[in-house]
Amino acid sequence: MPLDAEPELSDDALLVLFAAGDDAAARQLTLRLTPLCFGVAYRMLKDRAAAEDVTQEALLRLWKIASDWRQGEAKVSTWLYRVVSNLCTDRLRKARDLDIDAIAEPEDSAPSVLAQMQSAERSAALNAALDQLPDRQAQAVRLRHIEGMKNPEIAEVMEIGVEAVESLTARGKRSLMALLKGRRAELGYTE
Amino acid sequence: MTDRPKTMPGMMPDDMPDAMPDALNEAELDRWLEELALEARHATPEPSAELYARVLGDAEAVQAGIAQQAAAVVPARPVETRPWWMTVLASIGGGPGVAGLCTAMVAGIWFGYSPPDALSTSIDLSVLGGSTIDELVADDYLAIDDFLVDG
Repeated sequence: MPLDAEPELSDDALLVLFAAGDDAAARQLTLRLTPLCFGVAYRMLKDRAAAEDVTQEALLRLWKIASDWRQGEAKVSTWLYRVVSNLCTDRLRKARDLDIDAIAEPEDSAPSVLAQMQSAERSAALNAALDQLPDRQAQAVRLRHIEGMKNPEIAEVMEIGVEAVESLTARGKRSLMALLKGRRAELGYTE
Repeated sequence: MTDRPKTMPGMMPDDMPDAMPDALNEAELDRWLEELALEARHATPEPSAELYARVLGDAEAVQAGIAQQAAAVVPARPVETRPWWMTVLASIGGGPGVAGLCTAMVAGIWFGYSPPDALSTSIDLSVLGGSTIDELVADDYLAIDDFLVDG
């Protein structure tokens, strides 16, 4: 039986089948959800091994609650976004606590290098600034601008109201602008 | 964190360039974030085959656990393996009960065939008029005979 033989079934339905012992459902969910979790984790952590560990952990949690999953109450993907982003946030916080100097490093780059800053380096600078935001602000900004999620979906992931999401995103962006002040010209924004 | 820039609470993003001439405005930041998102999606590698195998291995292990748990939660109804006579035996007190019953039975038979002297078959009914039970029975029979003959 091909692994993607049941594309029409929802994640919810597959999870019920999984809990009932259906091998094909286990394979189908693995194929469908692993890239989703891994993508989010990789974009947050920028580390393949760590992203793989987070993916495995998040999906293991999903398998364990499969028997108690209530169909229609929440989307499996939303639940996974929440678990993955929380796991990543924990890892980022621990890394920041352990090595706070390393995170400040991008601001100390040599002017000659900054003058020729390439796209990847600009991304690195923005990522470094994102890592310095308070956890909830960073999570909201990442989900909104990097994962491209809508505010109501972010609200579900973060288990807060839509207004709170808007507030967190706005504050996060203000913080980013403050963190990146003085680098406008070197990042190519000249008028 | 002392080196963290202040976010200036209450200040709108549009106000910031006036205060900080070299600050990004919101439109520039949005453009930058968009660029970062595109690059991040482009740079995200595919999950490895090993990761799929690890995840599927976990899934199968958890499935096996769920099945095992379900079997334990609904145990098979215990089958009655005890023969019927043991059930009867148990209802009268088991071994000691049977021993007591046998003793009583033997004693009863023994007393029936060979009663001790203390026991008399002619129960003294002096309290009822000075006759024995044999006499009472004989008297009753005679009375019935008289009744049947004489009416």
